[in-house]
Amino acid sequence: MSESSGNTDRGQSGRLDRPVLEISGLKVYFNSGKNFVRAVDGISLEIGRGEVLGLVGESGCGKSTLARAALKLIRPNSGSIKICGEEVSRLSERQMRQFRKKIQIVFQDPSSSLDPRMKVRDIISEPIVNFQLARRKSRDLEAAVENLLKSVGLDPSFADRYPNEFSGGQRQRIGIARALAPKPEIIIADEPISALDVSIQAQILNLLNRLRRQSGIALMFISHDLRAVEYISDRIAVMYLGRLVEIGPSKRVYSEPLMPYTRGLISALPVPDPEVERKRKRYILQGETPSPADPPSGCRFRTRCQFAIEECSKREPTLSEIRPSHFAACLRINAENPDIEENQKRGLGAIGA
Amino acid sequence: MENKDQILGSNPILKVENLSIAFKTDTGVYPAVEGVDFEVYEGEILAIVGESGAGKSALTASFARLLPRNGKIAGGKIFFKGKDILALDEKGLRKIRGSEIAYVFQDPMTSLNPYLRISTQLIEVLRLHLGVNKSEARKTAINLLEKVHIPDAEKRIDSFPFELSGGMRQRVMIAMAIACNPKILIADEPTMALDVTIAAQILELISELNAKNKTSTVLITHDLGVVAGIAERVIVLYAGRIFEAGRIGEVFSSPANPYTKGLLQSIPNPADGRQKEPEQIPGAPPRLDEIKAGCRFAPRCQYAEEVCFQEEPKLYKISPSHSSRCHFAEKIHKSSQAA
Repeated sequence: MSESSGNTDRGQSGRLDRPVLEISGLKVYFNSGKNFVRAVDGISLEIGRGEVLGLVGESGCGKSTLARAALKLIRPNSGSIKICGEEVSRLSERQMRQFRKKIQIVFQDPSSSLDPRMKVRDIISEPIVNFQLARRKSRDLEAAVENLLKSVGLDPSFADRYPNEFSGGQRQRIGIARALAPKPEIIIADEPISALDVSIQAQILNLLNRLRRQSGIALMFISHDLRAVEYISDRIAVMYLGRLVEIGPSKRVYSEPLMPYTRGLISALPVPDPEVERKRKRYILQGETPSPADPPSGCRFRTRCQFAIEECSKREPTLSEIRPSHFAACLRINAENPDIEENQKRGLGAIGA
Repeated sequence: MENKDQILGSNPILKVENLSIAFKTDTGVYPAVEGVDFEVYEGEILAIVGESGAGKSALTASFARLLPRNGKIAGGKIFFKGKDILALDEKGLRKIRGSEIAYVFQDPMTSLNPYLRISTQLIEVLRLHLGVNKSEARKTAINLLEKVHIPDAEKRIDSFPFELSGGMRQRVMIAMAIACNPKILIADEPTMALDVTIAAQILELISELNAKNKTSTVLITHDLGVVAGIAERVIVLYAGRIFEAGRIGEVFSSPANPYTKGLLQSIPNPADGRQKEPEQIPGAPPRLDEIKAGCRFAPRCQYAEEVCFQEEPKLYKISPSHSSRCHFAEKIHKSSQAA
């Protein structure tokens, strides 16, 4: 786990080695006729080698757009994306195609992301052949497919079957095997468990966790399920309306969230224990996410924030390190006074950056 | 919190006896629900939990005989306020549907007519069931939207469904469902399509309406966490059978069935402060055409023995309110109590 000492010049993740994925100042706008939808509006983050970063937020906050931009599946309006130190915007489409073996994706719906007319063997072989890691019909390819199937907990004899012969959980395993096939440095998993049955979710979560421990692969785990995110991630990043509002070590973000929004997200999740559930203080977020085409002025969360003051509508807060390696963007907290509820009681105004 | 014994002692508003439902497909006739017995009591929130294919939606659709055309009630009885639902004709059913037994479905976009304004759809329901005139119905409709906390109801009522967010649409569905003060509200995965923060708001609304109107509520969900927060009793379905039933406290603190136990342990629970990996149940639920002799969960069960593959267990009573379908129910129950 990457619990770091808070040495800021080691970068966000507190790691010394070069990050696998570095995103800085990323903006992705979509044209929606009248105005622009600012899906991703100035995001910087990095994922270290072998690190798992959990990305959470409500639908429409830009999680998937961020993921797609990282894969260069959509072109950002500005900002830089470096994969293993290489600036991807400088790569031509052709160079990028080869480069994509370093970064792979697992999609939410395993039924629609596998070609129903391809055998499992062909689905998993395709990236291996395309990236010239083995020749078509070679013994190496056979062995690679067999190993990949085994590594995701499937019987190698399944290779000659079609996707529709499998259950949802098994299909997601096939999707993971395909992502692992070109031996990537990082996998982006976009809601990989939310389409699965409850009893299957733990299987996939444990599989991803085991794979990252065994192969040292980095993972961006996108989900709205904070319980799952907390379990698998080293760090958690929270997005709201195209902006990063909190990022830090996963245990800290979960147990001592700084932002009122993060608190709301955590509180919204039911706890499977009636005693805890009935006693705990619920903190239900009121209202809904405003449109990303017309975000509120100042702090974008202020319209749903019970701690919002006038200043919040005038100035947009920036991410700053409130606790060691734990960053938040909120005008009402700073490193000396990290507890927003306490600050409210003491009548502290806009003290943040 | 109400006294649970009172709930169990009060009259059941709905009684399901030995109910079986079968579905006809191209390849044959398969049982979706088999030999299910339970009651819904006045004013309670009963949760029905199960994975996809467990039969939860088929079960609740049968209460008002709303099964799809290829589904059929193959056996058993359903009594609503003592009346035999299966003996009712279309006219009798129409009286019950919506006004006495109301439904809220998973996806509000497909349950609302996209071409009609919310006002048109709500007013239609009110006029049909309450026989009031148009302007009265409109007033009542606005009132209902306010009850489900839709801000600016007077203006929003003339919106089309696509102009509302998912959470708002679900609120409209709930408003429509409670329009005629039903005796039972059936909410079939009402938060499935919603964001976590919006889901929390909708659950709070359901719980608030239950407390205020004393409407019995049947909440169908796959999320045991949701159940812990708002329901009084829970029924766990697996492959068309009741596997465990009991009060929330009993089932969560000492599950007596390996399936329930596995489900509870498979949810990562950071509040535990534990580091261990979530327990996983191997395999997947059986498809309807794959059900074999013996216990339906046996192929995935870590406690399964010879007998489990040969003989299907019956539903054993652990306490007057708690039961489990497992040959080793007592043993599992004791081991969860000890843990």
